[in-house]
Amino acid sequence: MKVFLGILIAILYFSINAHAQDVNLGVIKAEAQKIPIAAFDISDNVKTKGLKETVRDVLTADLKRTQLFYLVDVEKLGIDTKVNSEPQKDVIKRMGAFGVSAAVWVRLNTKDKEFVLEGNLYDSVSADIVVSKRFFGNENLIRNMVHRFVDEIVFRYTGSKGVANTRIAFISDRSGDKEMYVIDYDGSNPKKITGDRAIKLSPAWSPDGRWLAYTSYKDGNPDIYVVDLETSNRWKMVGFPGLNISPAWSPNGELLAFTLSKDGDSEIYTVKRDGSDLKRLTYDPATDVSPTWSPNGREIAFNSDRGGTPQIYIMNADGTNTRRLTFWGDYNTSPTWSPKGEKISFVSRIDGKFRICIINPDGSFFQQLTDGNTNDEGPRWSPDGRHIAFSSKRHGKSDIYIMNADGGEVERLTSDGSNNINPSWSP
Amino acid sequence: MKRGVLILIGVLALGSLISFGCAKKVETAKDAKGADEKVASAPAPSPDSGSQVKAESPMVKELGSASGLNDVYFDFDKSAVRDDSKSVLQADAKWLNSNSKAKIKIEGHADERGTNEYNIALAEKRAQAVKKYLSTLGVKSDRLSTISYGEEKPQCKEQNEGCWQKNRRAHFTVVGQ
Repeated sequence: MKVFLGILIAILYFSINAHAQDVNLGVIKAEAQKIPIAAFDISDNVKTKGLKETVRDVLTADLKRTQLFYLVDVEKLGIDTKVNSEPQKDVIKRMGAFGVSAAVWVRLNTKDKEFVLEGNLYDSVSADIVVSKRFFGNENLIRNMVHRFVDEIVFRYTGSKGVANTRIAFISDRSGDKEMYVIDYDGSNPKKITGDRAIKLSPAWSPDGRWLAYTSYKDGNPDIYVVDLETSNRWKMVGFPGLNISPAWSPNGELLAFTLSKDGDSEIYTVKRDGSDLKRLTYDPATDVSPTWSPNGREIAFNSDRGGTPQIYIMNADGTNTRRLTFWGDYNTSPTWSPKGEKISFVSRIDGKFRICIINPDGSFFQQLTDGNTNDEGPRWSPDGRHIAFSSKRHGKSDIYIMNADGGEVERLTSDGSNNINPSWSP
Repeated sequence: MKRGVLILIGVLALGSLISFGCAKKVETAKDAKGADEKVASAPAPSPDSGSQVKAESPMVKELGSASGLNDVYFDFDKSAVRDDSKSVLQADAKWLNSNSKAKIKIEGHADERGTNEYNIALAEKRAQAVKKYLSTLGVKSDRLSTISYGEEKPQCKEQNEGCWQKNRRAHFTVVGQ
C-alpha cells in the first residue's frame, strides 16, 4: 500500500512539472503541448533509387511543420522500426508503453505503372488503426501523396484539414521578367503560371483555390487579371484608367476588393466575381490600398496614409465605421487578416527596417515577429493560421520564407538567385 | 513478482508523464479505412506565351536627356515636388511649350523599400504631382498622361541611399508627336 502511495505521489509530482517545462524522460524528451509520435521506417518494394528517402524526408518534415507532433526516436529505446509489412501490434504497444501516443507506418509499392502509397496511423496504446489511406498516382505525385496522408492525420487530431497539401503563389524574376509562379508549401515543385513578360504583382487565391487574381501591366497599365488554374482561361477583370491593384477575394468568393485611382486618388472598391456591381468603399483624398477581409466577411482592414503616414485601418465591409488600428511608428503597411480572425499581420518599419508584426483587431497585443539586419515584407497566413509566409532579403536577394505564427522555425522556400516576392498561400 | 511491479511502475510513470498536458488519445474511428484515392497533379496551366503580347510600352520612344526633359526626384514616402525639382520642371515645361505637339507620359517610380502595393500608389501620386505642377506652368494637361511603376522598374539596383534616391523619381517618355 505504501509503495502504491509513493508511486501515486511520484506520478502527480512529475505530472505537475510536465506543465511547466519539457520533461526529460531519460530517452524521450517530450516537448510540452506536443503529441509524441513515432514513425516506422518506410516499407518499400520499389526499385527507384532515393524514393524511399524522399518519402521519409517529406513525412518527417510534414509532421514537424504541423507543430502538433513531437517525433520520438524509438530506435533509441531499442525498438526496431524496420518492417517489411504492416507492423506487429506488440511493437506498436511497446512504443505506447514508452509514452508514445501514436505510430505512423508508410509503405510504398508499385501497381501496374503507378505508385501506391499506403499510410496507417496507429493508436499506440491499443495498436488499433485510426487513420488508413491508400493513394496512387505517378512518380511526380509521391510527395503529394505523403502531404495528403499527413493532412489526414492532422484532421484526425484537430478536426480541420492540415496544410501539407497547400501551395504558395508568388512573383519571381527568375526568367528575367516578373512572372507568377506556384510552389508547394515546402518550396518544391515550382510551376510557372504566366509568361507574357509584363510586370506582375500581388497574386490572390480565390477561396475555392481555383482562381488566382493578380495585377499585370500586360496592356501597359496595371490592371487586375484572373487565371482559372483548371481551364487555363485568363481574363482582365478590372481595367479602369489609372491603378487597378491589390486584389483580395471576400471569404465567400463572391466579391473582389481592390484599389482604383480612376477618381483621382487611390480608393478601395469591390466588384462581384462576374465583374458587375462596382462599389466604392473609401472616400478620402489620401492613399487607400491593400484591402484584406475579416474571415466572416463583415470587415475590411486596409492601408491608408490619411493620418500623414501609412497606417492600418479597419472599416465595415460597406465602407462605414472606419477606425485606425496602428498608432506607433511612421510606416505600417500590407495588412492580412488571419483565417480565424484573431490577428492581423502587417509590415512595420522599426528602427529603419521592415519587420513582420501581428496585432489583435482591437489594437491589443502588438508583437514583432521578425528581426535582423534586412527587410521582411508581404506577410500572408496559411489557411490553418499556424504559419505566415513572407519575403525577406536576409540572404541577399528577396526570397520566400515561411515561419510559425509566433515567429519561430523560419524556413526558406526559394533560393534560385532571383528576386521572389508577394507570397500568397492557397486555401 | 517484484520485477513485474517495477516494470508496471515504470510504464505507468512514463505514460502519465507524457500524456499529461499534451498527448490526446487518438480516437479509434470505424471509418479509419478510407477509400483508395487517385492523386492527380494540382492544376497549373502552361504559362501564356508572350508571342502575341507586347511588353509594356513597346512603342514608347525614349528621348532621354537629349529631349531636354529631365527627371525629378522625391523624398522617401513623399510625393510633394521638392524645391530643387521646381527649376528642373520649369526647364521641362519650357521644352514642352516649344514642342507643342509632343504628348508625354509621366512615369512615377519608388525605391524598393516598403510594400509594393503602397509604393505603386505612392509613385502614382508622384506622377500626378508632376503633372499638376507642369499644368500650372502652362502645359496643357491633355498632353500629359501618367503611369505608376512603383518599385518595379528601378533605375539603380544597389541597396544604398544614393541608389534609392535615383529610384524615387518621375521620368518622362514621349508617346506621340
